Amino acid sequence: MKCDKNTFAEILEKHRGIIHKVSMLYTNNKEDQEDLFQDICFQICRSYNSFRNEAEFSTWLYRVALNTAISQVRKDKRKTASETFYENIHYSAIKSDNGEDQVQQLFRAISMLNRIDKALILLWLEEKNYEEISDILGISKSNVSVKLVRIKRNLSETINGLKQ
Amino acid sequence: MKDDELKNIWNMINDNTLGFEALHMTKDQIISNRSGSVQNKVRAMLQNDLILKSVSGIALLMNLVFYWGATEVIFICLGGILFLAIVTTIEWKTLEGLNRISDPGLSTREALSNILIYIKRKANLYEISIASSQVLIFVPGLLIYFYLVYGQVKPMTGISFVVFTTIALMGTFGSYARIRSQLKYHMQYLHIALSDLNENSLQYAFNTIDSKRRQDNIVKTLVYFLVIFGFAILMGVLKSALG
Repeated sequence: MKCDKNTFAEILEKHRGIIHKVSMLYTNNKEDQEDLFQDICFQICRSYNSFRNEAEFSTWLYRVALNTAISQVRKDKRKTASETFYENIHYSAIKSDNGEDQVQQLFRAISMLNRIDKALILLWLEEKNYEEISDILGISKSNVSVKLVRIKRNLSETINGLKQ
Repeated sequence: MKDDELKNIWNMINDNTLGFEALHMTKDQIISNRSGSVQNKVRAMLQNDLILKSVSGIALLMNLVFYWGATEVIFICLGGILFLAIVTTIEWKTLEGLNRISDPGLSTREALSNILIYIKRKANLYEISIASSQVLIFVPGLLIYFYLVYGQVKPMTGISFVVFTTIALMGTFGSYARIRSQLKYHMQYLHIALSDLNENSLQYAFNTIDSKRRQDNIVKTLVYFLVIFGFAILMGVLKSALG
């Protein structure tokens, strides 16, 4: 399968939210975020012919996006988050009274995780089941379950810490 | 915090995020934008290094004033200034060349080929001249330190000379390796982008690089020689002045 302009536009239209969230979680400033977004799109298009219908398309897409993001992070270890980066996250028009703060806190808490834990929690938040997570990240289901318990506990503690 | 609570917060993030232009790009636009940003990054690296070299120039001039009368130190400073002038000129020319190839009227394919050809041809010069900043900062910095702390050049033992030289060399090679890996990454991206556009552009780029290789190799050898020779002379004179 070749990724022509129409296919690309279609993929981007359908899945830009996923790519956007991945690029936001794995970068520390807007410029890097845009670069990573472009890199992921580019990589998806390049790898499109390797996609076989055996797996769900979104599962494959998560795998490509996360692999691209993780390998990018490895190159840019030294960069730190700018103070305003997480404050510029845009939200749904309908939000709870303190929704804005909560999203920022969640992003800050996730940004403190290591790159594999970030991928795990992202997939869980995106309603992927343990089997899919295990398939995307290449770790066993039991490992997914154990790690998720620990990550969620860490996130709750960090968010509570940020609230105070 | 419960699972549902976390997921509810997560779901507040809107897919149609505003203010993020990349979300609405086409494939060509993405490739084109990224090639522009590669060019900007390479340009920024050169500009930052030119600032560093200006600082080095100021430090060398300060040393000329501080050590006026100490013939050997003045000789080091003048040698340093000459060396600095040569590598700065090389860098400045590279920067000018980079600006010249960024014509907004070019197609994505032409822009990508031009950047790849230019970066690939100039990569070695670029790496050497940026890495040389480490020595050009280290030596005058050391002299300023001696002046501020001791008011004169401090006699240097064989061991301290070896230590200082090792530090300078480690900084230089570290910087060289860092720049080299960054450029390699950018070139790899351009390479992939060009092969993806699938219009014989990559072949064209490689043919151009091949045809210029002989000329580039001569310049490269001269610069390598200049840097190694310059560094050896600088450290040798520094040793005889301070030792």
